[in-house]
Amino acid sequence: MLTLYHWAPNGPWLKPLIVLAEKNSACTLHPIDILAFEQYGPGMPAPSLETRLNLEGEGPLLVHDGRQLTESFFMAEYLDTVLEGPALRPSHPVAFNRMLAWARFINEVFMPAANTLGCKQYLAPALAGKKPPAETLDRIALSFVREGWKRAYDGNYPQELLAESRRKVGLALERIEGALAAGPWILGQAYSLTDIDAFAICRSLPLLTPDLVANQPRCVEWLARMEERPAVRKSLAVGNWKQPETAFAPGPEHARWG
Amino acid sequence: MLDIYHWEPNANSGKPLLAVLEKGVAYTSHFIDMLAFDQHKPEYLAVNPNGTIPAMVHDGTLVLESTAMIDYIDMVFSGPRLRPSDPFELWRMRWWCRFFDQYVGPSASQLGWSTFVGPMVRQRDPDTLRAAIERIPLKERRVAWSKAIYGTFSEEELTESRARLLSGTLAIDAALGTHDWIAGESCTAADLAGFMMLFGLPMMFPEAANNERTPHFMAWLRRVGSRPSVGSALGKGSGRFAERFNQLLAGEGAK
Repeated sequence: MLTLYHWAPNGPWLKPLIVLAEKNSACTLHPIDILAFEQYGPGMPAPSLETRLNLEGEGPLLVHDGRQLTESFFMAEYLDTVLEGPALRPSHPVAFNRMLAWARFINEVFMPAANTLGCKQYLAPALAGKKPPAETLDRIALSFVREGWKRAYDGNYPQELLAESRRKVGLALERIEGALAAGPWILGQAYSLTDIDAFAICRSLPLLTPDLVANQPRCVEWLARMEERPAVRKSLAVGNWKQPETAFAPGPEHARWG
Repeated sequence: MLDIYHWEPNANSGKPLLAVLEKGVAYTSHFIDMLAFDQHKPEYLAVNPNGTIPAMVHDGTLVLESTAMIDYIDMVFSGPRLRPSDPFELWRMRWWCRFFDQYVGPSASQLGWSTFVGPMVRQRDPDTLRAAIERIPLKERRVAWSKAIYGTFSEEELTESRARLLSGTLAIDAALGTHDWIAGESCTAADLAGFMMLFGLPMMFPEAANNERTPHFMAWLRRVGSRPSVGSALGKGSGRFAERFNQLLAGEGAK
């Protein structure tokens, strides 16, 4: 039994949806309203030691035969291992190393930066004037996730944080552009989890940093190539969201030390 | 041909060393003195333009990222497996690797720098230090080094690091209460990486890690520390961390 608890098909929630669609695998989809804090509510399974501490911030939860998994990229790796269908991880050790290095960069640099810009542009306005649910927030185990919610309720995004986030997004786009020179995919000839990992974060950038995207022509083509994949189209249609790319909730923290 | 460029068998530098020693892989060790900033000198930048350590060159290909290097070594060479074959244990290995690399590891390293290494490095000539920082190729690393050297961690940051270590060691202890190795039934990359990140903690921050508060965590440190690979790895450095390590193994409750 495979159950995925997910929100809008964007960011971390989009990744496992695409993997499931690429594998054409059956999974019970359980939508949760992140803005209503259902992820901390009684409809969820009691978290495990690991899933209680989610370094990804708000993200999907997969339950497979009673075992819980979080962290969208590692979840995607798991799904690729246990499900039939086309392999999405490279078998060559050098390419595999590059995939893991991308995953770390995306999680630690790219995702926090895009998430900060997305929360400022879409989450904070949606919460403006509302009262933070103090009791629920106190139950969140990791301090940076609590602080991410408080920041969004206060609409408090210092200029320095926004500038640093833009710089990191620009750096990520430059790196992807560079990798695509040997494309058509980020790791080269073969489509992989790295494309899914990066695409899930990149998809909002035409709205968040249109100027930075326009500077990188290979990225623009690659985004279009991704959008054409039937599995991606199917995933983006989950839940009939009008504009899933505007769905943001506090994500991973910016690295604390440089 | 496998070349590993590393500093002391501590934190990131220790990870690929333990991996090759666990598997019995032949390699050439290149000691890069991080505190002399050898990693930002032209000779080393010719090997790894990012100026980060550790780095590995295998048959002409540069392989980076200390935790992912363990995967690489495990995929390419024969010898005992360093990654579980069970997919869920593999996920758990990934999860703990991230917890070590991105949560407790940086906190431990921040305390270590503010207490021991920073004051030591600051005794050097200020102009030499400034020039050394300016040579660092990656902006992220430049910021990290400059914070480390000048000790510009705020009291708030250090408090947060201590809080993370206090709660993080309890989480590790709880996980090890039900299985001997952090991901499950076998010693994996996560045990090697976690050990290298945290073996100094009982000495550096005993309030967080001690036999009473975190018995499973302490027993695990000693379990990993007793592996022959760890003893051999310690011989690949200058001996700077040997005292810390010997105290750990000689502590009460040693297995």
